[in-house]
Amino acid sequence: MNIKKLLLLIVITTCLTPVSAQEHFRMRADYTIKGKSPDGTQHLTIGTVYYDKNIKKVVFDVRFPQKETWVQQDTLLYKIKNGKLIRKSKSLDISDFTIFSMALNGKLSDYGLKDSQFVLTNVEKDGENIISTWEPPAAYKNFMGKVMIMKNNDNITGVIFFNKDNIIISRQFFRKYKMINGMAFPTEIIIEKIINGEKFYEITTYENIKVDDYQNEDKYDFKIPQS
Amino acid sequence: MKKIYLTLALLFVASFSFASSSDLFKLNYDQVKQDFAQLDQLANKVKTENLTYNDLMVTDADMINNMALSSVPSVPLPDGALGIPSFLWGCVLGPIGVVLAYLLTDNDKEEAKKALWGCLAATAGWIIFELVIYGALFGAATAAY
Repeated sequence: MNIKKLLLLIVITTCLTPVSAQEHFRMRADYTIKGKSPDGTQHLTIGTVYYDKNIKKVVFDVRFPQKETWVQQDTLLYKIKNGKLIRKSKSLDISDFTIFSMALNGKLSDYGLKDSQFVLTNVEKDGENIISTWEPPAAYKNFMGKVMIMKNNDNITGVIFFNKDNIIISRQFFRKYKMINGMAFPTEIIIEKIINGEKFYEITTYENIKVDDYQNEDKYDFKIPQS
Repeated sequence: MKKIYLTLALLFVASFSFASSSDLFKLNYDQVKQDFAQLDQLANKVKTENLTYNDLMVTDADMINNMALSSVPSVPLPDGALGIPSFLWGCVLGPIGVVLAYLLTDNDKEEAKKALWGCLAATAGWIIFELVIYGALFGAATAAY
């Protein structure tokens, strides 16, 4: 291959790369969570969530039931009310594992399973749906079961979690996809949890989604006040 | 002819296996939405009128009490599931591990906790074993020079 052809190849591949692997860095969305608990209580939470994958803070600006801000950073969860830090507690470090992170990094379609130790064991096609089955590593099979995911047009539409005895413990449904700045995002997520044989549901809806929002810098990098 | 019957039988069995997997993903969406109709109505009212729980307790206390509406926001981030540091869930199993941590919080905590610590110990042991092997190989390669 002569030098001209090599240069042409480099130029072509460089130009094509951003098209095939467009990555986004931040998003915000108004959210509503509605749920029913086993103890008979009902929950309603309304707010706005901000996430920047470089800052790695998940900021929940809650408006209902009370006006307060929750910030999840590293393994800590901060609760701020009226500009004052009222609670700091340990939390799961979920910043890389939220639906926002998976969507921004283009990993939502396989629910991040490709990056886990789960092994793809089966793929089935049913009309326009593709159902894949993922088994946990052998060492984990004594306390967790397989995970099945359903995709339609490369968008994840359902996830089913089984326990070690092959009984469903939870199902998640991803519905009403919208394209925002070239990124597909489900605007309705229904979680079904099965506890002692009874089904409990939680519905999360997202509205006013903005991807790569250049405003609200103070929200994405929310400064935690001193207590 | 036998081959045709056999092929048809296999296709028949295969079609059943496909159907059963798809069925697992079926959701009675209308029923779920119907169950949440009252919460939907409340959510619309709260959004439109920009209300808080305390506001509702003044104007619609009976409704709030009848609905058993919690004054606590839904917890999107539970405290350390099973008491296990989160990085272990994430590092070992990736995003799916974090979801499982949430799910396992509601199911058989003690059993899962014991099993998970056992698995993590096994993983740690395997990593140490690999480090020793690599160390030995590196040492041998260095000695050869």
